[in-house]
Amino acid sequence: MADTSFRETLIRLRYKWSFQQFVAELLQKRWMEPVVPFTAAVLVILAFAFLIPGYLSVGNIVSTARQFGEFGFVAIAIAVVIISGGIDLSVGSIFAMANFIALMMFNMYELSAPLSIAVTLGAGALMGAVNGMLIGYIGLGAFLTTLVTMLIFRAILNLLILRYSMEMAISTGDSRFWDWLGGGDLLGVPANILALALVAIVGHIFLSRGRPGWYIAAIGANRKAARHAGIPVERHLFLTYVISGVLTALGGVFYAARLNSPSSDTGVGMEVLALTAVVLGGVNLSGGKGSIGQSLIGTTIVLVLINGLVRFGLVGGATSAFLGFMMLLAVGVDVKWSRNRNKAIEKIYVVPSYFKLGARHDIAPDSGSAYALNNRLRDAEAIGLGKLDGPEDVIFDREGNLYCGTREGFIWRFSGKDLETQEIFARTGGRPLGMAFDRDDNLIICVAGMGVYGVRPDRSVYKLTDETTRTFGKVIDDSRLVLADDLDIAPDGKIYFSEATLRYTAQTWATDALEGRGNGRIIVFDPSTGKTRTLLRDQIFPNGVCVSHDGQSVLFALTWACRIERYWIAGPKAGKLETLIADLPGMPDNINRASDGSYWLALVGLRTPAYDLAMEDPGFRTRMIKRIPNDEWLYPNINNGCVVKFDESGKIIETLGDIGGKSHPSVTSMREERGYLYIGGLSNDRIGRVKLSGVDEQWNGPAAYWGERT
Amino acid sequence: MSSVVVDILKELLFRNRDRRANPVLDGPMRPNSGLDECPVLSNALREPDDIAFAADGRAYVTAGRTVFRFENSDFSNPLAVAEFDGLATGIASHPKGGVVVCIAGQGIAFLGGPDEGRMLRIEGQHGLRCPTAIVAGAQGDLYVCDGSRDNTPDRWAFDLMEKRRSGRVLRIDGDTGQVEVIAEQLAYPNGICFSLDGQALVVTEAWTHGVSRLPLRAGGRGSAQAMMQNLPGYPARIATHGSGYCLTMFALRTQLVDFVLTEDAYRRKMIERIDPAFWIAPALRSEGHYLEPVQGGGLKKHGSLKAWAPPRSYGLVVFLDDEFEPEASLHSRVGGARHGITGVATEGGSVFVTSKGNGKIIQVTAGPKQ
Repeated sequence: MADTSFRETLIRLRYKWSFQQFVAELLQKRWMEPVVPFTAAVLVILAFAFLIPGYLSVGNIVSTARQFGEFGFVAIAIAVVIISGGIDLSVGSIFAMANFIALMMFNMYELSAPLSIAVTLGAGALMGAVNGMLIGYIGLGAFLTTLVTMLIFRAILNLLILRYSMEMAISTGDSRFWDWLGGGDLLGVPANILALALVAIVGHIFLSRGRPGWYIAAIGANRKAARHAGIPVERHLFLTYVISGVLTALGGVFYAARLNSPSSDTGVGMEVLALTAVVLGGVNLSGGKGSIGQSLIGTTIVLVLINGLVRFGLVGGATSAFLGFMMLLAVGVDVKWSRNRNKAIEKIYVVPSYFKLGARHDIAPDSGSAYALNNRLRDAEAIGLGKLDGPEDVIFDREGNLYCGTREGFIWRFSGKDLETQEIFARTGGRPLGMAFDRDDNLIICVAGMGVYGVRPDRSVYKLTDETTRTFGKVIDDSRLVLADDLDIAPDGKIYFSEATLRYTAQTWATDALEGRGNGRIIVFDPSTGKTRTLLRDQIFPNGVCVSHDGQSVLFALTWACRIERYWIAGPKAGKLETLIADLPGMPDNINRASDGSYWLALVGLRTPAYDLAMEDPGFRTRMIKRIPNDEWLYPNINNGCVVKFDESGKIIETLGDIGGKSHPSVTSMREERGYLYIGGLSNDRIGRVKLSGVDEQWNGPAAYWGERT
Repeated sequence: MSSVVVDILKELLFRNRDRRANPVLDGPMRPNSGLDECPVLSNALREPDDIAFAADGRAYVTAGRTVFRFENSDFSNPLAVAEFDGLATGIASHPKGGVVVCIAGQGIAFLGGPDEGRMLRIEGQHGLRCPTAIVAGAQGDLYVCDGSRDNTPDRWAFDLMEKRRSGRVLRIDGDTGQVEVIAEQLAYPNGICFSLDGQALVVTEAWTHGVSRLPLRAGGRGSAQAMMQNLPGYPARIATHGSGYCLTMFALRTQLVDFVLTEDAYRRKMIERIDPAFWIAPALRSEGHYLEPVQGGGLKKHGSLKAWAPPRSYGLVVFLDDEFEPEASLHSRVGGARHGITGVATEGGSVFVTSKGNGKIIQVTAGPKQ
């Protein structure tokens, strides 16, 4: 026996923390995307530093950095266009034109340096505008259009060089600023690198924080959806090409200042290099994804490779072939990865853990146990039959109106003498789950996917909280409330609520059962301070929450663990956590007060032997999840209805059931009100009403919590 | 993690390998509610297992340890004609009149014919522990499927979960009871009939989901020839019908059961600790007991189960042509009440099947060819 328990302890420890879960959560992070190219860049640099003596010398770094400065602008230019879902092949020609125009303005027309630069950037904008006009407004294909403009700009350049080369060769401008641009530095940092850094920072903020940047990424991700969302697609496409033209021209300016040479083969093949850089950096060729940082990482890789290969003595053709090969590789990986990333995450996201439940109570109708099932719920009178889609929780206000939240996000209200009038009371926008009325008759609701919200008696919806303190050292950002489940309000007004799981949503919650891991938490919100605080972490699907009759403790249900816990919030044991009921025969859901000082508890599912056994075998569940589709997975049996009543000591007093779930399968909540018990179900199509006998027929929830209204 | 890598590698390297994946129901096997629409002739028997018609046209049905005979052609009046010490399972008409019945652990009983009341005890070749189906040849020689040497017929689920391959096809001399093994190491042979040309036996194998042909050559053992493989369900009895065959399946395969069959540790514990009624295994009937395992597609929404939910039990009758190509099928899906079809017999151009799961005898007709 001792041996088995030791083995169990080992297994439990083995599955307590999961590397796989860590990786799966890491892969979901947006900042994970540049990690691979960044690592590659570091490795490439280290490799050359190791292979080539003096590679990391100051001279070499500065000369590489100067090239980097010019080329970096082009890479950013092309990245912006690619993020918008297009491509700009004309950057090489624009670069050469800019080089020529800058030299012409500065040397031949002897304009001042700033003016020359302004004219050049203007020319770049104009050339970009030609592209943008044709692609954005007229709707021509980006690839062909920029291919053609690449040839046209190059042809114009050749004509201009033919016409003006003599005049330009004999004239020189003179400006210290111009010289500084070409060869100067500030504290050892080359001028063009400074400019690039400035552009990169501004560009990053523009792309990732500004509205036009978001629009551009949205257009790249899905142009049709962007148009339907009301984004002016044409204007933003036009804008990306203008930006591309201006940035490329800026690169050309620095090139002109450094080399002072209007050669006709300037910038030839630059578009391919820039493309390679951007793709190597991880910017998605199909648009919508990428950043300035990524394209600069890619630029680093490409330049370091060229530089290193040249110093190795490779001939020009071999270097190009090598770069071409790198680009193919990067594009291949990019396509495969972006297509399969979600699939890969899906494959490893669900991480079952070891969980062993205690023996199951016999709940057979003839077992004679307190849990013995019966069919008292089956004949429940139906309310809203066929008009409700999943009333997870039900509650009454002071006037005796019945409320429930459904899958569409509505809060329905039933009023009238026999609750015959059904109307939409409020719309939440999420999936409303647990509900409670506060002292001021506001309906406080846990809304899955949103947080904790309230509805005032005048039907206006307001937010109480949607985030809590973030756990230090957790990969996943757990500050947002993902699946707020049930709540109750203590006499001091504090709202205690459960968040069932951090890893799944209101649609996929059942999958959390297969993990059997403590993914949920108990949180408290204090309306007087507006502060939200996490009380208990790593709880196994905390679900129903109920403040005890004396207001000293909070009872909550751990669904997959089949336990009821008591957390003391006042009195001598304040802050202590105890298990009130262990090894329930089913999965507990909501807990609510009963009129006689005991509690009602909904069992959403009943434990099955095959499922209990699977919980002890994480490997079995892991393989099951990988090999067979979701619909075929083994799930908790939630096809029967069961409500039990327990007293303050955790003793079961009474059971109401629906064997086979003819009317009320998967009961998630119940509420006692003036002699009746009302039944809600997460995926049911009605609310049930059962007459209770021998109970206080005046007892109702609001009065029990907040006293009779005077 | 490492298993993910292996999975991906396998996926890349063996893209087209036959993984014995559970096939989808499609073409002539497309789900319908045909079986639920067929006329029920009798509700009188609990768990009717197999059915046969004697030469005089009267139907005999086995159920538990009893053999019933329907005196009237409208199946109104079942009469228990014999009760045995072992389970009465496979039943077939005998050329000399009457029927022959397999009795588990005992032998072959003759009923209603010239040998009425005769019990042919089988002791040779390890006896007849798990007879499942029988057919009688023109000379009175009997061909019997012995499902397993390890389990009795009522413990078929154990045989599946223990992955036994100890079934046999026996030839039994109708006079002397001498036994000859003509095929062995079969995965629960569960149905037998003569092929249309009379040259071979057609045998179904439940755990390998197949139908094979055993040529009848005097004396020697023929080599089995697979006619159907990777069926979507667990085949039971088969009978010739017109110019083809009629095949019953007592349950459908599910991906979960197929998966559990690859999980040795889980299966071992399941067999040790859990009541077979609540195993992850096919069943003849499923009434949604609260201790039964439930699959993702079988969670109730708005109080109802979807017909496409992974079936724990199912009703399926398939009509095959002379080359065992399915031509039509009749289904009783999740939510239907004609599950666990085990027995089939043809009489006068009509086909009769027994729903062991729901205690019904049903007359079926093939729908229009699809």
